[in-house]
Amino acid sequence: MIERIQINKKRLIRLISFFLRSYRRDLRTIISIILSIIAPIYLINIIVNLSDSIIINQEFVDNYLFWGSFITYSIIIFRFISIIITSDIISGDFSHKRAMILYTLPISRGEIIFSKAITMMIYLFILQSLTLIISSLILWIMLGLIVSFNVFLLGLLISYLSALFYFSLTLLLSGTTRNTIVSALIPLIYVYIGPQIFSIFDLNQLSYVFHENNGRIFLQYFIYGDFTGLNIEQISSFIILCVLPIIIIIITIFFFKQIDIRI
Amino acid sequence: MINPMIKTHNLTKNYENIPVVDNLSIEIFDSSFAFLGPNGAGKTTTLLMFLGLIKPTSGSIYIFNLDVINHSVKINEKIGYLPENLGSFSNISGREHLTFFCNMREYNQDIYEEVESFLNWCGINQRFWDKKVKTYSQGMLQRLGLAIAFIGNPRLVILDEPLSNIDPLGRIDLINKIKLKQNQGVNILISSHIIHDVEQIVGSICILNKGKVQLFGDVLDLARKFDFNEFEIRIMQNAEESGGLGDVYDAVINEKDVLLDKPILLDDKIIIKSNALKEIISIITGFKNANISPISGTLEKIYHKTMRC
Repeated sequence: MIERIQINKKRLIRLISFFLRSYRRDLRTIISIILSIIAPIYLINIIVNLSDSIIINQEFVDNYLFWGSFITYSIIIFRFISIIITSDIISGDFSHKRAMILYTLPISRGEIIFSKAITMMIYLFILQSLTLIISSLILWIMLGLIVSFNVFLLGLLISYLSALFYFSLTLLLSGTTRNTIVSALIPLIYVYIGPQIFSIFDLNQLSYVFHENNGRIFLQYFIYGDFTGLNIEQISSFIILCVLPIIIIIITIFFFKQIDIRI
Repeated sequence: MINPMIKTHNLTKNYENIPVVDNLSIEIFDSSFAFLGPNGAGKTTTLLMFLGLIKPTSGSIYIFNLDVINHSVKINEKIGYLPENLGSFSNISGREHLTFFCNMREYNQDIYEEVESFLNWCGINQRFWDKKVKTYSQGMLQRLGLAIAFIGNPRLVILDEPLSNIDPLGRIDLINKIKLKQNQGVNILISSHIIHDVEQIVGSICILNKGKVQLFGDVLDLARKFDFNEFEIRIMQNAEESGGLGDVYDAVINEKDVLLDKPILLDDKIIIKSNALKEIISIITGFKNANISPISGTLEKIYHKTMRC
């Protein structure tokens, strides 16, 4: 049987645990942790500067402090983190000259890229979960109120989906260009300059930020429990948020299987 | 009928329509083989096609009777590889590297013991075993690479310029380590432009130039073909059971008819001059671990003659 449809789970798990171990001690991990602390610090700053006249209740904590302020900020931070940590995910194998031993392992290239993607997804999930848990604890310590569970989960979901898109885009670029700087620069340009350019030419559909905002509105309906006003554009944007990273990862794997590997 | 270890048929690789490997059709039977040739001859490209890292433009490759294009993962279970430019995961220790590669090759005995024995074997100082690889010198990295290539019982180990970054003393040590593994039954395939080092290891060669085969064959046959008649007999390591060099010398010296000159017995080898290679081989086959090869430097002379043609 042709080997591309065979998956060796044991080797895949070994590969993922090895990659996790190597990222754990990486400088990028330290940078990511430092960056992820910014969002909770921002939350502390908002709480400290709250006016005395504001009535602090569960709705205020959920909708304004957590969903409205913290998650917005967290999404921006994690866009950046996912681009930084993914930029050399494949290109690093070439710049550090380890591609030749890695891709001659008895495991297919597709499985290696897949396990790298899974490793990064686990890594981002852990980092985001910790950041959100810390921010919830901050709210509890400073205001005596903990964020509602459903709001917490939806916040984690939208923040994670956003990070996954930038991660997958950077993964694709890292695999195709095999250049770390280009892999980091293009997504950064896309995220920070792209929306303005697309807006000028009335091509908002091409901007991920557009879909990200729509996706957030879509999830907001679940928080408020009121679905009047929900439109097809918001639903389709949410579907794009969920499906696009998977499509990009599949394209990366397909592309990477075709190329010649040499340093 | 014995199947070749590696078989290629019309193997071609083009880069921008320029052939780097041009219709290579060879069958490798020998357990120790070398691709020789100048820089840019197509040696590394050929090896990378063997490993499935580069897809051929046309032609086919079979390793252990398996088609490389469709079964590279299955073949890579049996192959160890040391690239010319070895990289590593800089934040991981040498021990962790070997454990990982041993695990990936599905080594089913005591991995801890295997890793320790390979760390010992490759000659990395014990105080570096658990240190991050980024603290290793180039020579230590090369030794680690050699251990990575050989760990987990591969049937074939491909070594691409294995000695190019090593100092002269280190080279001798690494050659001995490779020979030791060879004697334990591991097939070796080397690519190199340092012919002197390679000739101590290999039994057959293929000289490539501009992607084409210039010369192919058994080193002894080629020596005879090029009218070289000086050979050396060595006793392989770990061969105490089959008698020493002195016994071989006594056996050879009695066959005056086949010798052109009196054999010279040195500490580690016997040097003989003969035009009757077949007869010499039949004499030394009685000594299980005796090995005959052209005298040091012969391969280099063959190489120069071939490249000048």
